[in-house]
Amino acid sequence: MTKVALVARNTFRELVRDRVLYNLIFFALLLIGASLLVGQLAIGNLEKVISDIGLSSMRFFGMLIAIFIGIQLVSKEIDRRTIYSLLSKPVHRYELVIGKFFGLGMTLAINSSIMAAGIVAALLWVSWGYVPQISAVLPASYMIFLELLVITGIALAMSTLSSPTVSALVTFLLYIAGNFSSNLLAMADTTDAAPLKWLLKSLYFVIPNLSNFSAISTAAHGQMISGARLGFATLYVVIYCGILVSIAVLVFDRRDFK
Amino acid sequence: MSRSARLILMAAVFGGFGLIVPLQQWTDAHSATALVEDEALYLSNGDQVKRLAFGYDALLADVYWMRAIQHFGEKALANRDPANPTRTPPLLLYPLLDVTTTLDPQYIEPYRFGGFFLADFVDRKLAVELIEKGIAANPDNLSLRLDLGFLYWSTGDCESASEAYAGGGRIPGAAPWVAQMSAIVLAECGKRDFALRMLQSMYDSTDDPRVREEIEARMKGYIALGEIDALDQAVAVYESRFGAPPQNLELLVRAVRIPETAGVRIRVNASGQPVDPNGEPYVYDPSTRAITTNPESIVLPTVVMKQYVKQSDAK
Repeated sequence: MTKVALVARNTFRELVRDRVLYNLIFFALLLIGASLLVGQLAIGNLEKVISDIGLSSMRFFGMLIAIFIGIQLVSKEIDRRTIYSLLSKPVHRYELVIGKFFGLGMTLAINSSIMAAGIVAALLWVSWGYVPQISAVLPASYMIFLELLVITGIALAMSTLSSPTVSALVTFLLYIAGNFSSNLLAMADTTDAAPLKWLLKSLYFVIPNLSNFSAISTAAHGQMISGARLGFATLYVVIYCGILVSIAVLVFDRRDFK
Repeated sequence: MSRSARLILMAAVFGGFGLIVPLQQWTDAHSATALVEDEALYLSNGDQVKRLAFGYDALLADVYWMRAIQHFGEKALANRDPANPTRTPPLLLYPLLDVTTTLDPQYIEPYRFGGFFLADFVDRKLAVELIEKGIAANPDNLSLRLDLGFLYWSTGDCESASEAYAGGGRIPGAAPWVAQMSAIVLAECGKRDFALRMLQSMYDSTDDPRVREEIEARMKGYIALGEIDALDQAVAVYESRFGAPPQNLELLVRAVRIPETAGVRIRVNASGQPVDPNGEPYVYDPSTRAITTNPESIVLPTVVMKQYVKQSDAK
């Protein structure tokens, strides 16, 4: 367990050294710009627009980090040949993969937390007091973080399977498919062909259902996400990421680096 | 790389940007015809946009909402100029608001904005459709019921207006007067002071300064209508007394006592001209005896920009 934590901490440090958190500067500028400009463009409910822009940016920047850093987590070590020195140490391959996952997860958690604090600050600035969106943004940020963990899991599993380019493409396609997965169920209901119906329903459960984490609109209207939904989403992520990390471990464990 | 080579490269970077500015300005100046606003909405189906949003529905709703406001603002500015040959109604307003509200059905402002402006500038039926869509998605929202009641009332459909208020009265926590309005709207259908009461209730139901501003403008329109009626009566009295209509309204208010009915009280400015609730003198044509407001100050409820719609229908 301590080895997993060590790998996670080193992954986090490396990502910070790679200036991954620099995206926070763009985020801050975006929020400040939005706070100043949107009030002039939109009618009413500036808090809603600030929450929408802030949470959507958190999701977008997080998605970019999860995909483009996630696909490099393992492949970078292989390309740089640092994998040999890592594996020569008393670290199991599964510990390396799990540690990498948690390292990027930690980076995303810190990134999302700082962004959430930024949104709350922007809301306080524009409203000069408490508005319901301030409380609602926090659980919504947590939901976005959970979604990012799923994307990280996909990227990590892909990075053990294939080249960075193919991994990025497949992860991005799965991200898109994950946003459309409810359509698969609707398509299954409209088809009469039993094998196709079965295939579509299977795909619906296999592809991550990212709409489970959709909370931006709710939060932007100042409504709280229910504890049951948060609990369900957390459990879903634990199970789904467990599957993805297991696949990554299985593939990585059998991989020959000679 | 040598220092001089680096300096040359840096000069090339800055010089390049320096050249791009006049080049772009020249291109803009010589392609003005290509910059005519595109009157098409490529994605006008909210459900399709929602599918393509990849979970960024709320953000896209904001984008469409701001585009709707800009579209309406541009049209309002262009239409204000009678010499502008490209005067057209804001025909993209409904599709833009429809997409906005499909992307974010809980977004109340677009329904209310649409209810006000679609009715006056595009089509009252579309305004009703949009507000009813809002009520279906937000059945507990009282403001939308009040807006719908007003819309129906303004088309003379007092039974539907009464139903809208009755629906509002059934919302948990609604004030008792909302349900009472249901009966009052049938009893006082067509009365101007009732319109004022309805508008006052809508005004009280919102905190948004811009929505309040719009409601206030409408209230002033109804107040002005009452004042114009009173002035019309005074013109008739003047004509019967002096055998000819007054040459101007200053003469009228000096010669005839304006009847103070239903709370109407005419104010005059320093020059003795009767003024509207904004303090602008009423416009009077002695040849036709017509009294109206300066449209720059107050747009009367019956004088809406329907002519643009008629023009487009004729095409």
